[in-house]
Amino acid sequence: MAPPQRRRHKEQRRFPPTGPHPPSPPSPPSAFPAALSNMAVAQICLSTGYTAAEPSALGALSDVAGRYILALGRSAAHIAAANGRTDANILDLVRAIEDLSAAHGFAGAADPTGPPLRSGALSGLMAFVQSVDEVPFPRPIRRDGNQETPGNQWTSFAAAGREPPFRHVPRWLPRFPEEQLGEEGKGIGTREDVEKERMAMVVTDGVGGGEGKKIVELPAERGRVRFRLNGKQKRRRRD
Amino acid sequence: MNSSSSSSMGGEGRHDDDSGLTEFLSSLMDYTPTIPDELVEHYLGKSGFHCPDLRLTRLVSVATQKFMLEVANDALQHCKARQAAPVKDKSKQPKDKRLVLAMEDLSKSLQEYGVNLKHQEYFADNPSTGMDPTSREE
Repeated sequence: MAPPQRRRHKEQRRFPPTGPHPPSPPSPPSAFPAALSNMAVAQICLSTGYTAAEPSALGALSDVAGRYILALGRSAAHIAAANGRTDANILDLVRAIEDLSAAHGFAGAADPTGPPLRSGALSGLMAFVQSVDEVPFPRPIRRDGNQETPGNQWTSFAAAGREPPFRHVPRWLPRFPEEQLGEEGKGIGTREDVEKERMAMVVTDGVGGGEGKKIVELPAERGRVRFRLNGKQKRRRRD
Repeated sequence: MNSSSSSSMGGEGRHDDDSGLTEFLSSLMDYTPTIPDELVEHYLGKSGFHCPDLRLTRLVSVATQKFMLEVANDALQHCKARQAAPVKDKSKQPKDKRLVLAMEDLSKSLQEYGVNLKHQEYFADNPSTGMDPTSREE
């Protein structure tokens, strides 16, 4: 019994869970962001004076651009998390920008205790924005509906200025989805109304029925449904 | 007296800085960045960064644009230096003086920023790739 236990212990030691950058699983590269990044980087190269680019070099540079944004976001998120916050703010971002531009140096990098809002990296960015010509991205981009931030949708009852439909629901909870509760003016009638509506949704949807069927029982018995398979008639009753 | 005046100066300076920063951030709302917001939000979402403020997204976009512009400028200088370098054999000299972003210059400029990027020796994305080193040696 003893050797396997020791081995397990060793394995646990070998892979410590902590680390500044945990190795992320290799995700398949998505083509759309890469193509967008290619276009943007090509525009930047064009503005510096290049007339053409090798495809491999352009791809590599746009990949670096994506990794730069990832590194900035990761660094800012880490700093915010280290300070006990979930949302990053400008101080975290300035710190992340400073960290990433430390390799090349910036004005005021010698004094890390200075006020972060007076950072040399930030003032460098300000000067950059004032000096550079605005080159907007040539095409509008369709936004993916799934990537909406949850912060936009989740407002509490108190923030929306509404009363929760049930007494036991506190006002600081996020509002219930309106599709399930019906219109606003209608309000919440009895519990049966809600159940009926939900059931109607389940029936008309016909897609997410697997979960809905477990919760809601259909009121009336359904008629018999006949299936014709291989020329033979089979009778089945759905419940 | 001295200390009080210096502290008041510091306070004013901070106020100026704060107003400058606020102005800068609000000017970012009107700024159209070259790197689109959607792309930046995609990458930021992947990285775990969460902030509903559009101005911070724009700040990230501007910072990335600045970085890319610096790298591209350095690569351009490398490219110009390479083209201006004397070539012994005149016939081997490349005819067109077009400025093309090449992997060679890019890897040199990225190396200064701590990115070690190297072209694979056998990677040929145009027919003349394999020809270059031999012609230069001659």
